Amino acid sequence: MSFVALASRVIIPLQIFLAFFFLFRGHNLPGGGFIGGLLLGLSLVLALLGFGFQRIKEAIPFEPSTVIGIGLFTAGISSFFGPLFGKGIFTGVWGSTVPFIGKLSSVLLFDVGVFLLVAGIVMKVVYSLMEEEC
Amino acid sequence: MIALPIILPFMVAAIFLIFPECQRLQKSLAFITSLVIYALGLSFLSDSKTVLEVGGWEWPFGIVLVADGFSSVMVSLVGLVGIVATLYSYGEELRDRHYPLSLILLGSVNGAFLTTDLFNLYVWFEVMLMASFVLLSTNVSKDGFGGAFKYVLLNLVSSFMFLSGVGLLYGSVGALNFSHIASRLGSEDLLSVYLIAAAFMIKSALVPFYFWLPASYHRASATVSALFAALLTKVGIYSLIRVLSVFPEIPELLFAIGVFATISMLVGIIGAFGQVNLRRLLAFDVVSQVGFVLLGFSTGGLSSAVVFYLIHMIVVEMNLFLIAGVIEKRGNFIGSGIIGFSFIVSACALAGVPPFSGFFGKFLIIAEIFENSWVLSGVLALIMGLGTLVLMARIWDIYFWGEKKGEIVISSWQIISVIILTIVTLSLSIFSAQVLELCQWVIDV
Repeated sequence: MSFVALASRVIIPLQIFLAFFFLFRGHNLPGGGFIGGLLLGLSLVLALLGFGFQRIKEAIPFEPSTVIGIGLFTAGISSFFGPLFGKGIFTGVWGSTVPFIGKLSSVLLFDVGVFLLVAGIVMKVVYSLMEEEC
Repeated sequence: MIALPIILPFMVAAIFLIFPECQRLQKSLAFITSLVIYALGLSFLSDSKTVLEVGGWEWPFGIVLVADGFSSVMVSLVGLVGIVATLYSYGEELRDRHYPLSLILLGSVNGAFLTTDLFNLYVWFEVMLMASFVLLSTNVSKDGFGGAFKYVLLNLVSSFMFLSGVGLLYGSVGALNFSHIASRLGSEDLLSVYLIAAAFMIKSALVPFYFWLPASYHRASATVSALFAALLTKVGIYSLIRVLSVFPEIPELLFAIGVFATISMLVGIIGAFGQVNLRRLLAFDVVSQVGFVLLGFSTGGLSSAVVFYLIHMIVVEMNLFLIAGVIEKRGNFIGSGIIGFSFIVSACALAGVPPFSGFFGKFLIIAEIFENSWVLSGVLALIMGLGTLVLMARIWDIYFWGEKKGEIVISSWQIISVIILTIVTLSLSIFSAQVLELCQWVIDV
């Protein structure tokens, strides 16, 4: 096993954890869906360096565009929570606090959408570059 | 409700991305979405002004979407363009992801029409640029990519100027909402207003920056180029008119726009005479039309004639590009009365021949130009009308007369979409008095 593969085995779980940490902490503190999504995408890049494109493509069962679509859809859905609770569109709706995640809210749902969208786009970029190389 | 014309296309596009296999579902859903946008635009028209403070953030602080007369008219036109483009695309072989991308384009154009926040407008411009760039570059061969590259490069320059302008403006007046900026604008902020205006001028393909348009439009598939001809430059024109009519009047800027617009008319028409490719010829003609409508704006301000001409431009230019797509596929076009009739109607409307819609718009705008003693520009505008007519006669001569070439069956969807736009053009001509009244109401509210 090469050094990069070994290193990525150690780093990738940490990086994914960090990505989610940034996502959930992002509402009032530095962080958020965008930066979390980038981190998640970067862990994919690292995995690519460690294990090679073919193995990654076999291990991940969905297309990048699916992730982008789900992200966009989630972000869009979050805008309708406001009207559902009698407020304006895109107005935040806040729920109860959950340990590790913080307050559940439509804002968080929007951030999750951004998270998936950004991660999906990084994935798409990486896939296109690698496919061109092969 | 106001946010729906923006959110809905994005949501539907997301569904398309998740389920890329169901082409039939995509086709029908894209049609329904456009229909809903059209209906929403019309329903906004029934109220004089609808305002939405997005996310409950109040006026000077948050993003405010406003559907007043002008933006509602534009949104309903976006819906109409979407309907026609979708119908037309049924008869054409298109690559994957055409429908999600074109819906994202429609959504971002709606966003640009509805927002009253300068930075938000920048964001919509970027979304629009990305969607249109991908639409443009996925359907072309390798040498066609050069046109797409020119397009994205010049528009990135425009985005850069726009963003610098917005940044400078925000730094000095501390506001982003159009009317809020206007109330605080001082004489030291002229540079940023110039930068923003220049960015809009690139977007609307006015003369010093027009060359992205004829380089790129004809490379795309017929549906995409018609979509672009109908929407892209109009967003630039709309934003320029919107922003400049809210801001305190800057006579020097209006004068400069008038001069550039006059040159655009000339360059567009002269450039068109040198073209062999039909859609490229029409693309040059778009440049001259943009020049004409902005000349009308810079001399007479936002008048009902300008709004009328904008509506007429969207419908007629799109129709001509659709017809050009049909013609190019077949080589020439002898033996189809419907397409020939539609071409004559659109060509005469574009040139401003009396019974058709272009005449009323042109007559009022040119009258305004002369009233404000821009005599030279007025004369050139008249000559440009004549030039357009000669051009259209030339197209008629090449493609509708002569030997019949080949028998390619044209899908009835494409004929239907051309007929729809021809009917709209004809009704704009017949009911021009009522439409002009509507345009007057649109700018009064």
